[in-house]
Amino acid sequence: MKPYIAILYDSLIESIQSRVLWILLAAWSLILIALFPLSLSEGESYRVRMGEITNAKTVLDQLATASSGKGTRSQKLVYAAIDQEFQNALQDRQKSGRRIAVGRLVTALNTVMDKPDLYDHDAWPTAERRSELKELINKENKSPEELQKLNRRLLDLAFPGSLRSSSGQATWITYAGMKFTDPLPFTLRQIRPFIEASLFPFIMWVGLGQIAMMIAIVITSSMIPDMFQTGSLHLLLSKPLSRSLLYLSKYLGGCIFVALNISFLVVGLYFYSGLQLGIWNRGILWCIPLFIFAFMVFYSVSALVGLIWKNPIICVVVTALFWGACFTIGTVRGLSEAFLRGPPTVQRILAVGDTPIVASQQGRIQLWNDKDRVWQTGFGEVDGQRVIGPVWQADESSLYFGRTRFIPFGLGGGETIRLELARLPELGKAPEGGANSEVTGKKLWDDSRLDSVQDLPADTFDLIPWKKGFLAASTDGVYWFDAERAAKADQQKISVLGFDLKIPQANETYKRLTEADWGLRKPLAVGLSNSLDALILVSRDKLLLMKHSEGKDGKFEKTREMQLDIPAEAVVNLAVSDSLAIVCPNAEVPLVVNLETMELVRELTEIGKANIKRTAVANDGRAAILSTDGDLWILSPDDSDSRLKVSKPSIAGQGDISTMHFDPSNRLWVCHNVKQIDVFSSEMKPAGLSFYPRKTTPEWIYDYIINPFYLVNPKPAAINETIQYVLRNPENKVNAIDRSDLDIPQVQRDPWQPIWSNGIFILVMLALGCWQLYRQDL
Amino acid sequence: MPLAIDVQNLSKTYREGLFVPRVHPALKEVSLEVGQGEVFGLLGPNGAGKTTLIKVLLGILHPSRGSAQVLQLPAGSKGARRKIGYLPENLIFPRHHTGRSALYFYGRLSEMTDSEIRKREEELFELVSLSGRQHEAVRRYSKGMRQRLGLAQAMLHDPDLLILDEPTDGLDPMGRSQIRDVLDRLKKRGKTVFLNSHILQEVELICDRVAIMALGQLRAIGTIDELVRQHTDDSKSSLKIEVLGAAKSIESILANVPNLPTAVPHSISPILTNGGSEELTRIGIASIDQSGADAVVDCLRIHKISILRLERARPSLEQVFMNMVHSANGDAAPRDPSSSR
Repeated sequence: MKPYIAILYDSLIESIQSRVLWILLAAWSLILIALFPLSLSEGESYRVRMGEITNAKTVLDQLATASSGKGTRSQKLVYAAIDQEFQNALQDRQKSGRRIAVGRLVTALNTVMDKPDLYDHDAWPTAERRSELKELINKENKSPEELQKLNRRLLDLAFPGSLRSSSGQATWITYAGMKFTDPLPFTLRQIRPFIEASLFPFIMWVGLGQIAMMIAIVITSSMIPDMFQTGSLHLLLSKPLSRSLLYLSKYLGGCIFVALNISFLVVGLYFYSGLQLGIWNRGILWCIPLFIFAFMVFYSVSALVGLIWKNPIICVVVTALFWGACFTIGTVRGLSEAFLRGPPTVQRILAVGDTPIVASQQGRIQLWNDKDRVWQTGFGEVDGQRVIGPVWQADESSLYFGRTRFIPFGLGGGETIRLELARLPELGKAPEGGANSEVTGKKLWDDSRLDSVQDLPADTFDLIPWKKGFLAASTDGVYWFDAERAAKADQQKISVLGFDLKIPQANETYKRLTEADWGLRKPLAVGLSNSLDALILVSRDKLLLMKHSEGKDGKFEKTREMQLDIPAEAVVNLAVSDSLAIVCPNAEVPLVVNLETMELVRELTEIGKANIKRTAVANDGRAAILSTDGDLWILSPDDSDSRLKVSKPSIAGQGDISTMHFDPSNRLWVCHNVKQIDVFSSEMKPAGLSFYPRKTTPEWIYDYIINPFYLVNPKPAAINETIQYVLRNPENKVNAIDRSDLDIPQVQRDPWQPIWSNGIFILVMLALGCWQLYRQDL
Repeated sequence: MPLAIDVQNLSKTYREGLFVPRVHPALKEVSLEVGQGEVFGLLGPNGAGKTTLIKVLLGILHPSRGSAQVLQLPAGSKGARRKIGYLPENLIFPRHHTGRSALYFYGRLSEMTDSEIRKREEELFELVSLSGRQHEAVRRYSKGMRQRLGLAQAMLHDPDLLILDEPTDGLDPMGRSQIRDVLDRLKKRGKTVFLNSHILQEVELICDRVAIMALGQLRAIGTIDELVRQHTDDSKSSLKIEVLGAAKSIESILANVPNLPTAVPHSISPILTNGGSEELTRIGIASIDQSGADAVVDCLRIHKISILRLERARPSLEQVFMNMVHSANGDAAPRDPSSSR
């Protein structure tokens, strides 16, 4: 046996014979035994859940109508079945407009679920046509589950479009077979990505990465100082061993102890996850080397300190300080980024003449103030809301945009989206290419909200300028907002007791330009081809071309379609340039489709697999696409054929670009480094316009102190990203992208980068240790 | 004779203190040569630089100046360390080892294969009287047992040079005798032994040559006879006489010895007898020449004093050692240690 192997072997034997190891293993065993009965069990539950009510307002309106004896018979029966207290609340709402929380509605609807006599043939005449319901209706003695299922289906039929149909699949958290929570509205298959992407990494990082790591540091702290006991070290040094390798062997020996502990616990968790949760995730086993690696980072510090001071207490203290320093620097940077880089990042640019109007991630609409060199917020400072649009109506010098409450992870689908209007008469008058300083510096907005205008259709995801107004694309259809008509309607008032009241415009604000049952499914993207006068849509795995008919109803009708190969979980961006459509499913290679022939022209292999978050099209046929990594590509038409020439321009901020926009003069406005804007000519030369706001003090501190410090600081916590990466199943990787909003900064860093950076740190620390041991007189 | 250890003008200076550096010379221009097959003893009080010298020979310390070679190889080189067996002072074995596993561990570190260790283990445990105890945990070993195990590991790879730092420290007389036997056997096999010990009698019994160090300097080197001859006045040595008679009367008799100056330190003390009627007295004179000794004996006999025992002590290594150390410290020459008894 080689001497160094002998030291490692000896460390292994020492670990095995250590009482501490067995105490720890016993502790881990107890934890695993306690954890083992905790499980997930799948079953059926048809109870109404919060997320299944897509339009609470409509349901409440319909129930209120039923309370006055109007509405459908089924709704009246549901109203009759709900409890008296809620009925009273509905009547209050009718009279005083008092709001009812969605949670209360859910509770009320669930009281209906257990009513044995809800079904009435006349109220639900179509129910018996469905075989599933017919069977339940005709069954004599229904089990509680069957009754729930029947009543739920009846509720779905009573409120079509407002209640999402329930599959009945639900999951309970159980302990030793006992259900002790309400059912979770997910199937195991749906929960799995969450468990793998969030719960496992959290448990792993907090349990193993923090608690077990601290224990390991304390226990191993004496190993290197022990080596320096005179009677022990001198004998080792008298053997034909290199000092450096002796030190490295001892260092690795310390890691063996931790490896035994981590392996035991992680293998236990692997089997727990597989046997109890049905998740056999090999990524859990990959965590073993990753945690050992994380420990090696801390132990390299502890070992060096042990070498210098030869005192285990100092080892623990300095290692804890190192940990604290890493944590503090990481947290300070994280917080600084959260405030300085996330929310203020410009996500949309709209150029009106030479004046940029931007929408930031935090939901602010801002104008450039050239005098103070700042982005000046207009139309109230309402943070934390997502902006849809904006679109500019030149005739009225008006800016329209939608504002929705920002909720991450796509849970904001049921939220209302308010249409906002800002009149900018001064900006409208500014000459093309003229200075805008006169416009800014004073009150920017004529805050003339269209009070009478209804909210934008639910799930509106894009606003596209069209005729005198805009198209609002939602999952429910494409609607046209006629600005002229809305403005006129907004003038209509009635006088009540001396007060002017505007008349609500019911459903006529938005004209649906697609059939009611247009049956589109996510992933969904929309674009407009002006030359073809057609709406281009990506729906699930189809590319649809919908021509605008100039008939009476002026609707878009599907004329052609093409099959695409897009994963169901993907997010799609679409750029339509005359007769070409560039389809960008995330994590896939963008495709170019000829809209006239509906044929695939080419795959943009120059770009490769990328997550595209924004597209823009110029009047001259050029297109720009931007990835979530901040890389911008320009696609220019090639005269020789219908192919597009792809180039990645060398411009300032390339790699950190957040958005871009082509103005009517085909100039490209590019925002980079959070909120700096450069403007480029059609030849991608600087157009002499740039908007660089002055740095604030916190920004200075971030740029010149916090960030440089963070760059040179080791980042053991970043190994968590690698752990998250290995725990995530390949088929769930697309889920890592927030599908509701690609503007939310996506952590798409190289998952192995922390291994490299921390590996370099370990090597540096070990090299210092070897050098210290070499030069040291012992 | 080829040299096992060749140290020339070796100096080692420790520097301490970060802001106010202090310099502490541990070795000053030390030169010594140890031939192969020799049993060489290194003597010196605490802080004399003995352990520093051993550390330099093992490569644990880097010398500040001078050179050191071990078995014709640079001291501290891997090649040299392969040929050295070392028993450190206050040896600590990792607590998880048994005697046998410790032997295997250090054998492996000495680049031995397990089969080579297996061949040697039985013989060595027998040699150091640990047979039957090798499967016990070393944490339960007595200090003597640990020391013997340390000696076994030092001899395991059959080294050409054994460096032993206080090998008999903590051993009972039986253990010491066993170690001496082992060293004798090694000597007969032509192995070189470099011994660092405080126990001068032991060194006298075992070593062919010795060196005495004090305050980082080599004060003397040579065979024990050479050192005694060179560093003591052979014409004056101590005299011990046991006589029959009362101490008081003996003292008055000795006062009449013409050649015994009063300045010569001497002692006259009664010896307790086992209930006998006759009194016994012991006379001890630290340093006296032959004519003085004759005069004392003559005087006693003239007064009809019976001389029961007479011992004319030869100068010892201890005396040389004490002289060397005290002269290095600038002290007065010590009295004959026997005079204090």
